[in-house]
Amino acid sequence: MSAAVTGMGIISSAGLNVAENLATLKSGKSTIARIQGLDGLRKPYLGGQVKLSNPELYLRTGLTGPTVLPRTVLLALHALNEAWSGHQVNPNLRTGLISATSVGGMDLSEQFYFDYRNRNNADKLEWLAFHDNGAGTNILANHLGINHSVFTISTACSSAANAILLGARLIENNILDRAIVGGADALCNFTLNGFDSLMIYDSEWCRPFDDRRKGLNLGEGAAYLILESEKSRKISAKNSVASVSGWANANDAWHQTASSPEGRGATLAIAGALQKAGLTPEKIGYINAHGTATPNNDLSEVTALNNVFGNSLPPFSSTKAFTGHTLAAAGAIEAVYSVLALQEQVIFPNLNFEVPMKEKTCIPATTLTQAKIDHVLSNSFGFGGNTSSLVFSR
Amino acid sequence: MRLGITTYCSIGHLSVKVNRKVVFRAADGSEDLLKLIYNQLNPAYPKFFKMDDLCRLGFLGVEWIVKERPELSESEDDAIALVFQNEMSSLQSDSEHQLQLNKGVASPATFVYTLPNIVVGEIAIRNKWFGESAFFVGPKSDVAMLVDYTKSLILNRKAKIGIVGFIESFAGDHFLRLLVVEETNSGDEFNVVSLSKFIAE
Amino acid sequence: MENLIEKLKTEIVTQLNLEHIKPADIGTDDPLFGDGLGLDSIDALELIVLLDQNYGLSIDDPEKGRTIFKSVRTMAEYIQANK
Repeated sequence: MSAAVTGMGIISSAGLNVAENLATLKSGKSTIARIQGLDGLRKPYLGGQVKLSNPELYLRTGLTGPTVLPRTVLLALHALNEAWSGHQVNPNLRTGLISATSVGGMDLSEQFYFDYRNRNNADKLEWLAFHDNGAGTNILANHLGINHSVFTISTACSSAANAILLGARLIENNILDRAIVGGADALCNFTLNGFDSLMIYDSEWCRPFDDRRKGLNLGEGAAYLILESEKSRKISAKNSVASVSGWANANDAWHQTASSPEGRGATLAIAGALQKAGLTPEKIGYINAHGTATPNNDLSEVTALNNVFGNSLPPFSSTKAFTGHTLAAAGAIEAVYSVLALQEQVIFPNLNFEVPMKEKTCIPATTLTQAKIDHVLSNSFGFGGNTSSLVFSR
Repeated sequence: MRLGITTYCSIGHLSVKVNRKVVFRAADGSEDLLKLIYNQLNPAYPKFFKMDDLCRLGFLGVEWIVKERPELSESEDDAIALVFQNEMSSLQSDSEHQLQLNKGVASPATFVYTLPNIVVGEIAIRNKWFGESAFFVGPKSDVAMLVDYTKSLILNRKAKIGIVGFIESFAGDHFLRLLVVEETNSGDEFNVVSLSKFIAE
Repeated sequence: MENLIEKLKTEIVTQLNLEHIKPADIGTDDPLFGDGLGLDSIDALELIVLLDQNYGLSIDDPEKGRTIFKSVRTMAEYIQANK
């Protein structure tokens, strides 16, 4: 029994809502640019930045109360408002919130810390109360009026995919009727400098699946889906735009941050998601790949895809060249893009691709293409070997 | 379906307990409990020394469990699920990374550990377990998700066995409470009450 | 050169947290990666940080590291050549 998607909200460098993100994807133009406004960066990194400042984001949330919140929370609220629009709390529906983040309140904490260390200024000590990942989720829950079944997942780049997986599973097992699932992460000095230390940050625009790829560009954003059971939809009277029909998670058990050459974990996740959905590989019309453009991930991911689909892959692309890698939000942002692909019956292009990997014969879709798509596979692979795949169906 | 607890492991206050019996105790005033436990266990795993404390703690907890239950090493690839939670995420490594950034350096070996779920990765690598895993950030007092998640994994036959619990390490203070959970009529029943009670011990 | 080699061995043990290994245990011409000390890709990155912090030499392409970090001797030769 799949979980129906009855609401979506998104904010990323590609747009402030679903419509704007779709327009960007259709335009074929990346929104990655030189990152502005972060003082502690060691290099002029390129990234997918949301084009609103924190005060601007705050104004749009409709919140009252503390006016300074972590950027992660502001992005999350923005996307949640769009997803939840038209829905309401209902005592007859067991509703949960499962939110994912890796950055949490880090952007505020590091600002406080610079001030404190360099100017001995501890005025903003109360900002640190927002640091932990769970604190942000509580703010979201309060905003929605949800006080049961509120959880925070933190499994690196697969976090939001796992939130969706978990929501769907809890609905299937009749533990929840409705789940608000997704994630958010903001750009900050901590992660930008950190990824650069792993030497997987491209100083140019990232090139997923290209032989000359040098690494990722980071991005920021948030996305949430509203998932409902059949019973819930009868009460809420909401239309389903797609369903989460398949899901799986596995561990690659190879390295803390690199993927195994044979793509073991990814293979298990992809195959498991198809099996859950009851689909044979040729039923997949489009694959929204993890495709971070690191030398390691892209080769490992294609190997895993070949293990499941054979040498001839369905149309696939990474949309990270549009938005950057949004870390814990990626699984949800790309879930929205997968649903859009189903709604619009299009394959989104993989930007910046010119030269196929020498080890493989596959070529991603490079132009916006109309296609008959009934099922989309979406991959999200995180550090710690945490690999997840989801299937979305019409 | 009844889920029973078949093994308990706790680490903290200078001791390691398996099934509520003390299997190792460090002398009062001992420093670096984790290294002492490692030396006692002697797993011959040099990668341990590259891990941060959170990972070392989780690694050791599972080593003791596997010592008690050697058949877990022979499990099918994806039979074992790892479901963990803590309150502070990877705060210890986060702080160390930030201190490095303050000096204008970024150490990749430190950055790698600035995610709480890396402990899952380290355990999976060590034991070659390819099963499902999850990491939640939340208080000790709210472990409902650990229970629901594990139950639904085993119920849906996504896993045969769950290693579940709370793993926290910060500023040299270590706290681990892990349970092995599986479908069985023996042992205490696995639910929010029994898990919460164990965490509070 | 010998002084540099001895210094490097100590720095490697410290930078990489090689708990059970004494600097004298590292053979000057032994392979650092593969079977030798069993270092991995993160260790390679830490060696890049070591070269940068301690010797002011920056390496932009992690692939270059493969030749430079073959052994302690090749590291020392690289440092001498690029001081």
